[in-house]
Amino acid sequence: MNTFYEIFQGIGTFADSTFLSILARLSLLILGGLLVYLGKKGTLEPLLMIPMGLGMIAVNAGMLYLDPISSTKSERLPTPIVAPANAPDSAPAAQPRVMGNMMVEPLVKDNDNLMYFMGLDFLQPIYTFTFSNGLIACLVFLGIGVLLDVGFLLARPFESMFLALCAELGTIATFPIAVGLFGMSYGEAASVSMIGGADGPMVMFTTLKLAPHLFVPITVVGYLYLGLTYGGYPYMMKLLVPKEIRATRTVRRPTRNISSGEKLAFAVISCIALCLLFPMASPLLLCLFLGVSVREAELTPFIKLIDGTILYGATLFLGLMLGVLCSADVIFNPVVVKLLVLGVTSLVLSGIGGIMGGYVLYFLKGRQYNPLIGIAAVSCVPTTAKVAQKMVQDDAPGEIILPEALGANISGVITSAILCGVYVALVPLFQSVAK
Amino acid sequence: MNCSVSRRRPPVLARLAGPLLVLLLCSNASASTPSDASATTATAPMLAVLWHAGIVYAIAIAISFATALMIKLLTVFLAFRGAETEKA
Repeated sequence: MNTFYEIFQGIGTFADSTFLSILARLSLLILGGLLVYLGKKGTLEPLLMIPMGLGMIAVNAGMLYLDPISSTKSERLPTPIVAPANAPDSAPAAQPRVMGNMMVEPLVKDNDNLMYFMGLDFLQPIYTFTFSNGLIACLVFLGIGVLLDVGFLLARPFESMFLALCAELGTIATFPIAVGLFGMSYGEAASVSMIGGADGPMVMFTTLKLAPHLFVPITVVGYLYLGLTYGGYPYMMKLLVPKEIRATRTVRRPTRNISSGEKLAFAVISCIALCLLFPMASPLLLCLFLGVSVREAELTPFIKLIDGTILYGATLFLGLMLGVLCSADVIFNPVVVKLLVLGVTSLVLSGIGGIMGGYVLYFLKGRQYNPLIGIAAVSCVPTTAKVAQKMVQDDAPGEIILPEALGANISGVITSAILCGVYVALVPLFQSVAK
Repeated sequence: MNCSVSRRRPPVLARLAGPLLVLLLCSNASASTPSDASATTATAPMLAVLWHAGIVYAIAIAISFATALMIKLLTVFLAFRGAETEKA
């Protein structure tokens, strides 16, 4: 039987695991399959969920025995899987082999070991050079910048910003909950709170800066939930807004056309102002406004490159990387339960905040404003805007709220970037004061 | 007058939420070691934490509305400049 397990190590590692470990791997295999199915069905974001689900399946099915890594030498220590029966008592005890995978080793710290894994695990170079330094987040943001038409924001800046600030309720309210009720440090609490901003790159960036030891679980939980907004928010909208209010037709004042020159000037001035205020978040801000500038300057070859190759390439590897990081040993960590609860709290609170903001405008504008527009302020460009439009379309056929929704959506990205910058700048300060 | 009260059981998720929260709080209370060195702030009084969250939100509100104001001024200025150019 041992020979069988040695040949088919994926099965062998199952047989060699504890009951909990087997359960964890099986659950992740099923979850991976479910993500692929829901992605194909369109319930979850397919571009992210299909690579993620498949990566999750592969990493949990494809486990094998590896020699324990030497802490001093950049190589694995060769050891037999079973100690020879006739080994003398004085012989040094063979170190037990460890279970691992050939995808990525996210927790490696030592430089020699890192170089060793670079040559062994096929996704290690992508993890080290694009994921763990935030490059992939910046590339996704560059792509988002190219997709954004800031004209919607420029047409109604105060209204959009008001909604976006309301929709940051989760980002703010989860912070004291995480510290006070869950005993997390300020850095960890700020990182998990950013899930409420519903911007994956922001979550990654904040975690890298404030809680690098939780980078993998927070990023995975964050992106998993961002996929769920696609399927979960419509239920929340139906729950919080009665059908007759959902069918409200928004009366809008005519707005003048915003020229591309104005949009470009906005991108340049905002980039200067926000980078001056938050140098720590300047890589993300630069990428966002570079994308906007490329779009507004009509640099067609760049637009094609960023909108096609860079954005889709980054999304594919982001999804795949998130999937392969979901190995049972990384995900089934006690802190992940806290992150799961806090992540969903943050996103639900942000959704509620956005809809409450929508209600405020609904009453202020004499019941001539659809409060569902508020949900679009929960960033997650352009998913929440599309979700809001679809819901309105169902209840008031022919009604178009997309211009207002996209304005709120873009403001959501900007307020998330502002909050990311504020947290990154202030949390170390708060920590030093608390000490 | 018919004053019937619905005795419908709450959904499964709602029934699970309470025990799950208690479990989480208990597991947190029994944790003996903080997850990192900076976790010293975990014991910070709740009031201080709320104060800090308030500061973060206040700054975010101020900067967001300053950005909105900047956008408004920019569009007004550019619209004015466009009208002047057209007149010329």
